[in-house]
Amino acid sequence: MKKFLTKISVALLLVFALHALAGFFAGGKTDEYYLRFTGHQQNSLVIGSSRAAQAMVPSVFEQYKDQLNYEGPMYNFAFTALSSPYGELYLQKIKEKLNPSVSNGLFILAVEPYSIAIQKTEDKNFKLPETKNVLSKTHDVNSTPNYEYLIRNYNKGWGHLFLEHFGMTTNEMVLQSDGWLEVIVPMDSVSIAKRTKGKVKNHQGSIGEYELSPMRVEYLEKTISFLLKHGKVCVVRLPISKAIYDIEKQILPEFDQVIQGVVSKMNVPYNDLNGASALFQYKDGHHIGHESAFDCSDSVARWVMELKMER
Amino acid sequence: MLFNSLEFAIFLPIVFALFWFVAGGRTRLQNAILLVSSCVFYMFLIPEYILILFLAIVIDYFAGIWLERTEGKKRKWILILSIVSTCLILFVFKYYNFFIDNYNGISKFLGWNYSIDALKIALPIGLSFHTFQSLSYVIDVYKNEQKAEKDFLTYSVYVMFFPQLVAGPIERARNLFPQFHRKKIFDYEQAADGMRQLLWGLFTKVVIADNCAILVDTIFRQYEMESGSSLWVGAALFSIQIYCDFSGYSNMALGIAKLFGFNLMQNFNYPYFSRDMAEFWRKWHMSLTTWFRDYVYKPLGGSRGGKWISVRNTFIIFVVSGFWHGANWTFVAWGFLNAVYFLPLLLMGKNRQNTGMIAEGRMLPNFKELVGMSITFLLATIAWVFFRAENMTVAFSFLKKMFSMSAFTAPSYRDWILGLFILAFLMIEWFGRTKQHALDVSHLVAWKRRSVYIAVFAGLFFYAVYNSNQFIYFQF
Repeated sequence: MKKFLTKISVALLLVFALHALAGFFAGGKTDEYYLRFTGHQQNSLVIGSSRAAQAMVPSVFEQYKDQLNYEGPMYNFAFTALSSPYGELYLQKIKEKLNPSVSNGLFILAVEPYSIAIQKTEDKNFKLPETKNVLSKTHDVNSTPNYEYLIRNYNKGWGHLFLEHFGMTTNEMVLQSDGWLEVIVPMDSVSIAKRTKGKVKNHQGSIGEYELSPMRVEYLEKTISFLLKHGKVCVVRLPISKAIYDIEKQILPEFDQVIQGVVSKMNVPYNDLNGASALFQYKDGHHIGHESAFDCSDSVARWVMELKMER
Repeated sequence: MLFNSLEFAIFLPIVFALFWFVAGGRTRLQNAILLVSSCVFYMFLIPEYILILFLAIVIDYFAGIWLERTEGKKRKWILILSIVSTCLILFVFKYYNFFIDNYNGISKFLGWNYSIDALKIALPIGLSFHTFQSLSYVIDVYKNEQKAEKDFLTYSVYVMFFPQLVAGPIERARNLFPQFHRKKIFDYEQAADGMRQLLWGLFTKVVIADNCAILVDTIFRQYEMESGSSLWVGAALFSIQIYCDFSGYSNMALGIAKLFGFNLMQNFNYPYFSRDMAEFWRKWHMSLTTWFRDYVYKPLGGSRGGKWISVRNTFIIFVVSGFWHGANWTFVAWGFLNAVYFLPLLLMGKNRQNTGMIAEGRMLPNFKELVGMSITFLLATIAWVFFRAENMTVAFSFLKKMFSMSAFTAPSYRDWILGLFILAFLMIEWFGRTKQHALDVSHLVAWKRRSVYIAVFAGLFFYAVYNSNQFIYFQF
């Protein structure tokens, strides 16, 4: 027994040490979320789903930092519609990610039908999608390396962390240190059309499947209310292709009315960028293209600047 | 709890320590620890389903004792009562909705205005496995081939022994009971071999099977948009996936059992190195095929009543075996197709022509063996399409496309790293084919042994997938 335990212990110790070391090599290529669970608390945040994660480039806001007059740096803390719709969990994580002492932050809140809706179901055991996803599975959002995140969410052998770090893997997605999710995919018309076709089909399948969630609307208000204590809040609806926009009108017809009600009640500015949606290029109709992300961020930053001037 | 989960990585050393250090030498206490651990293991999934398992244990425990104490015709009725009660649980949870769906379909087709609601219940994990294990015990007692177990603790742990609780091997009482009664002495060689087998099982599951699954799932999900050649890639990868998934689980089960001093029956004997389908079925999921042989085929008359009785019985066991896997016509079709494959060999009396090890005493197979293996793999792959497809329509559409002209185009899926891993896996299996598991390298000198361990670990470290994929056979 002693011989067995000695050998097993040595082997396990080596395995453990190797994994502990690998954790230090985790970074922006690890997956589309990891980096957002590392580092320190932030002063200004982008909040929302995958649209915001890919469309809001914090470095663009940083260029206008003087004119915008906010406590930076700006940090993209948006995830996906399934992981970060407005709700108790997301608000909790925002509170943990935000530096509590900040009083002049800038907060860009992206809204879309999925972020304030809920799937229709008669299942009594139905659980909100975010309770099964990355935000609920990780307690600490400010730890480097974040072993808890890696253990619970990273689904490859940890040796892959070395390969990713040393550029030995091909990654379509790279999470930048400011939280922006850079997705580089072929942007030729055939590739875009193929991806858009799939997305449109998915969205069409959602028609009649969702309904407005008073709980989510309430938490959107609570999130705004919380962030107002720490700075300025701007609500945006990010641009999408017309095809998807039209489908979303069917998914949640009351969306505009509800959001107008929320922003009026909370007295925060709102901008629906879909009036200029033709100015941007989309990867799949739903997510803005890599290059257009800079233009979109620029549009939002300029809009916020205009608001400042109006004041 | 999954063997490839963090929870299990914590659970196993705790049980190991309790078993050997707290209860060391006290057999009943060791069995009690195994029982409690098995309950914890099972309750990680759906806790309340432990009650179903408990009910099945109580029924068959008392049925065994009752059978032993009874003589004459009454014994048959006790056996029937026990089988019906045990199978009723299986029927309600696994087959009720299948029959209701079919009844509703027929009812609608005939214009009857009467449908029955399906049950909204989840299938208890591994139900078919422990049901069959319990059945074999009661039938053996009835046939006076096994003494009834009087100790409720021992009987319970026989049904619930966690390494094989949810996906087999479907053990026999005559193999396991003596091991539960015997005093355990820690055997280094057995434990070391257990660790090797556990490592190999983990490798085949998380490196080979789960990487194959990524491509297989994509191809089967969007098969309508794929070329025939891509569908061949998907079907072939599924053949590899299901073998690595299930044999991986079995290897882990056998390896874990060895850590506690138990030897479970071998469940796979390198089936893809078979020269014909009869040999394949002697080597695939052996605990189930021998179960059907002993408790269905032989009682039906086996091959004693002439060729046609033998053909009839063969079809019965293959179709029932398919149905055992799942309440879906695709599984029935899979079983039927395998019976069709088996038929020519049976009719020509060649179903037992390949009973020895392939390429025995040689490093490589000869041409005839290679052709035999290739045809066997091809036939198995075609049959697996039914096993993997959601329904019969999908299965036929998939196969139709596999045999279309687009099969002669270049496939869209080319994962060279996975290909290399599969090649390495097949080579290790080939050179280890005479052993119970391919990673039995105990005969090698230390540095070679360690090199093998490092290579396998490197595969796990760099290429494993841990996406909570359940083992395919858990659903059965």
